Amino acid sequence: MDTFMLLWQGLAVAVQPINLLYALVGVTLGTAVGVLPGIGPATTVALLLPVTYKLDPAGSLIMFAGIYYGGMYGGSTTSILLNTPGESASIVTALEGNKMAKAGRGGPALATAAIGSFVAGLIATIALAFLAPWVVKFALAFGPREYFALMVLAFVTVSAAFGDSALRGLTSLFIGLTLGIIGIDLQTGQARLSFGVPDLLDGVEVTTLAVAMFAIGETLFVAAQGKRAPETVEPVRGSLWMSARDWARSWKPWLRGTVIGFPIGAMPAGGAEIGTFFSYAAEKKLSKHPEEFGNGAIEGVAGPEAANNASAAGTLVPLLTLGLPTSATAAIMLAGFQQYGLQPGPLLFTSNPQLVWGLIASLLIANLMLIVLNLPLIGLWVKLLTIPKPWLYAGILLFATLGTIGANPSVFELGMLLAFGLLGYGLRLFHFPIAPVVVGLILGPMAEQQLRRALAISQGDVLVLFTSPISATLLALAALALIVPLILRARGKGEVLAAVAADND
Amino acid sequence: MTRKPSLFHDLFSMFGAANAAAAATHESRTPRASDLKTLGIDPRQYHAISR
Repeated sequence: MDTFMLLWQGLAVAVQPINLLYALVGVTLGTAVGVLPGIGPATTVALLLPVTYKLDPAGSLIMFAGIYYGGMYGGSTTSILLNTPGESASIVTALEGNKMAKAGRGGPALATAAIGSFVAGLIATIALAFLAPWVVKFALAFGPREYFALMVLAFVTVSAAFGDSALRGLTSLFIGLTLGIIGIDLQTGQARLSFGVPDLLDGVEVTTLAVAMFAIGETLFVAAQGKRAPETVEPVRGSLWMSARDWARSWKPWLRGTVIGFPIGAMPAGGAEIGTFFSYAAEKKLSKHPEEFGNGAIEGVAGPEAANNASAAGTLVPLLTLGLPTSATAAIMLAGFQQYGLQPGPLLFTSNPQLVWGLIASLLIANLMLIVLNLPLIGLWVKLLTIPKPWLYAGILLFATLGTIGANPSVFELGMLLAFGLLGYGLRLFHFPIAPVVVGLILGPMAEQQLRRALAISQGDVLVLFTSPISATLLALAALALIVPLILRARGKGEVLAAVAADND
Repeated sequence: MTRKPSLFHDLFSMFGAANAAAAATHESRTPRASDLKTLGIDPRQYHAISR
């Protein structure tokens, strides 16, 4: 069946009134958390995991994807009007957007951000729909050794390649992998790392860890930053609409931002932020008015905003087709799939096509809802910032605790939630990434199972991992992803030292 | 005589700087001034963004 037909069938699922409602709730929540500094889509989806496990899987996943898209939209509003990004992917938008707002051009800045997000979201979702079946076709040829190699690549890229310190990333990953070992080994029936505690025999719940790390740890970290300086909202003066010149200067950055953001989102551990920084740099290089950058150049808002929305769709390519999360939100969404007993990957496209294509089609609808919600309701979103921060943080902690207790009524689970929450806070405090912990817990047991299968087939011969061209290539890429950043960092340090020496001369 | 950096070199250094800056924002740190300059961002303007 061709992609158009599948997408059409997906649309039929997405336009069901209940799914439209889930999408609306998702994009509204997403925009709200995008606006509020310190809370991101990952935290929100993590908070909702325990309370949605009894809902319809398609509806919940549509809502989660809406939150992801909405977070990317909402973050730009506070970046532009307050110089305070609601989301880390909107930091770059503040550079030019707030300057435009101060110069009385807040309307066109918000408009180019919203329309750019819409254009990028639309193109990237269509690209996702067309690319996914190709990746699925390729992935169907994967056996245990190829899957194991793919997971090794994911481990390395999530933890070591893109962070600032490979050691910190790998430490976080190993915490996750260790947590993944806890419980009864399915193959031998042996209890591992359970220390005789019966509650640990079932292993660590991904939902509990995700809520603890992203909701509790993150909230404690943000709350511990103390009071912020009072924020001044730049009023939106003049028309919200863009002039013909603004349109002429925006459309190319929108398209370039999409082209940059989509593949970066699909890259393991790419993350939306890389695309936004790269897009800003590219726009400044290509601009006919580079002198305007730093003083409110519209291209500096249009490009990065398109890039962050395109990357959200890009993230869904490896998540849906290979079951590989490339960002924190994707890791939590993977946990969301698993709580319904669904495993994203090539088989999901054949076993549950209605759900997958319904989810992809709902993104098109969510994108449309977002542009309607965002531009006319800007005043309402800005009002959200008047919620006292202590109420907000206390509310998140309460909701996280109630959600986990509701899904898993046990004192031990509550203890684990708090212990992991404190662990998450400690990791954030000492600049250890937290996404690799969750990825390690989710993918660790799967990688172990695939490795054991591959070794069972080869009767224990480890070389079998290198005799398949696909697995050998993936393992070589993993080695490169580990070694090249180390060399680059070492070279970077050398260059910095050389620059310091030259300055001293 | 100094050679003009190639487009490939430019793209590579921009991507490396974007990576490093993104990693820093993830870990709630301020990106290095050298990375921001490679990306065409004035470090003082970046520091003015409240987080």
